[in-house]
Amino acid sequence: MALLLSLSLIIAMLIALICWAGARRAGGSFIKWSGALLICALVVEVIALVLRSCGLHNTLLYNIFTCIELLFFLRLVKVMVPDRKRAVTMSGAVGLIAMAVNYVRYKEPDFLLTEGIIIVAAIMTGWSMVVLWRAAQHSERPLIRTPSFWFYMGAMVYFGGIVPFVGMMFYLYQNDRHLTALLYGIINVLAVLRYLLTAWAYRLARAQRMWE
Amino acid sequence: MTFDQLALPVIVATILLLLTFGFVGALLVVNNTRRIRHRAELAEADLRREREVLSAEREATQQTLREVGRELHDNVGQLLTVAQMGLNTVMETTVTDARLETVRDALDNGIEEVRRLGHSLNSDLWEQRSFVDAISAEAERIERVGRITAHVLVKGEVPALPPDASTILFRIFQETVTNALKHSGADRLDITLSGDPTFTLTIADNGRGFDGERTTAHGGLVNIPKRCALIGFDAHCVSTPDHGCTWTFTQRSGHGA
Repeated sequence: MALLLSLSLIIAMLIALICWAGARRAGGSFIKWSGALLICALVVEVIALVLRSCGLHNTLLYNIFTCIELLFFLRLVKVMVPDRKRAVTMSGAVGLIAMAVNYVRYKEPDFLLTEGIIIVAAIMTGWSMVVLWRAAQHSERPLIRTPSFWFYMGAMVYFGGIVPFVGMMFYLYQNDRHLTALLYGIINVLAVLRYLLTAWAYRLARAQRMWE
Repeated sequence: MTFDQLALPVIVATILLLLTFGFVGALLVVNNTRRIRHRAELAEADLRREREVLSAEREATQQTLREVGRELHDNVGQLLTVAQMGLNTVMETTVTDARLETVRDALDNGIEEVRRLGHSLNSDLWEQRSFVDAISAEAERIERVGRITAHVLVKGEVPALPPDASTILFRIFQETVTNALKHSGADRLDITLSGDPTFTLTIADNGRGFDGERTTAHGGLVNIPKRCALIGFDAHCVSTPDHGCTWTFTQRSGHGA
């Protein structure tokens, strides 16, 4: 089941990557940075799958990628909300500090930094909602035809889902491994949904030759 | 794994789903409101631009009319007056000739017409006389020069128009009357001025009329509505064969003096 979900996620990412390649002509720094984030995520997911297949821990990889993803994502938020650069930078610092504090507390590289990940996910959920709300307030086109709407909707659903489900996993891990695995599966499903929505956003950007 | 253990994730997932739907719904409502407002703003901007264009056109038209009026009064009028004086001198010094009398009468009429035309084109004169007075004077003149009776009826209090609008509407009135005199074969004109609820001028003749559907729109039929639009008026023409023709000029709401 876990393998199937991982493969589904990689396929969703590949679809998004193909759509991104088609949308590159839409131009702009958003396409550039979001493409970089997508490639990073794909590489991490493939390496994580290989490590797991070899019976090795991949949590360290996810911990590091959480920090990288936060930086990339906040860079994308800065593109969309240029008047809030300071707040975006501050929230990025808070996220990184949370990850560092979480690491210092446990000092265990093979343990998922759950508390830090929850805080980072909450930050990214919050910014996704801010960007979506702004797009709704300022877009002169229907929101469903706006590429950024689908991109940040995917991000909001995924990161918004991480906060409660990873939180629950944190407390259930000791008592019920099976339920924990199920919750992890839900997060994987949300990730698949996120990348499919991202692919749709790129497809719209390609058709409209612009990213908004 | 028991039902109780599953309950928490299910409840959380349901709440998340509901929150997401609620947020997306709110986004769509906000976006829709924004787009409606944007469309209204665009329409308002278009209207403003259209008004500015109309105002500029009106100003240009007014300026041209004023120039023509001044030229008629100061230049052509003066030349005709000199000719009149010369003719009078000739008639005083030579034997009276009936043909010279005819020429002098024609010259007198010509000078009077030029003076009247010059005045009618000069918007400054609207400060001194009302539109109703101008229409009444014009009706009297029409009766004097043509084989037609012109009745003027004023209903209620007719509001004053801006000078440039008065000039253009007066010229339109003259053109309408000239058309009736030339083409309709009418022997009666009914001119009605009304100020209730908005400024309305109606000119009805009892001539042969025309079939609106068969008559090709040209000249006055096309230009009169356009010129009316410049001053915020709507022009409407109703005519049927053998039942005369009625022009109605109504001031649009929001274009009051």
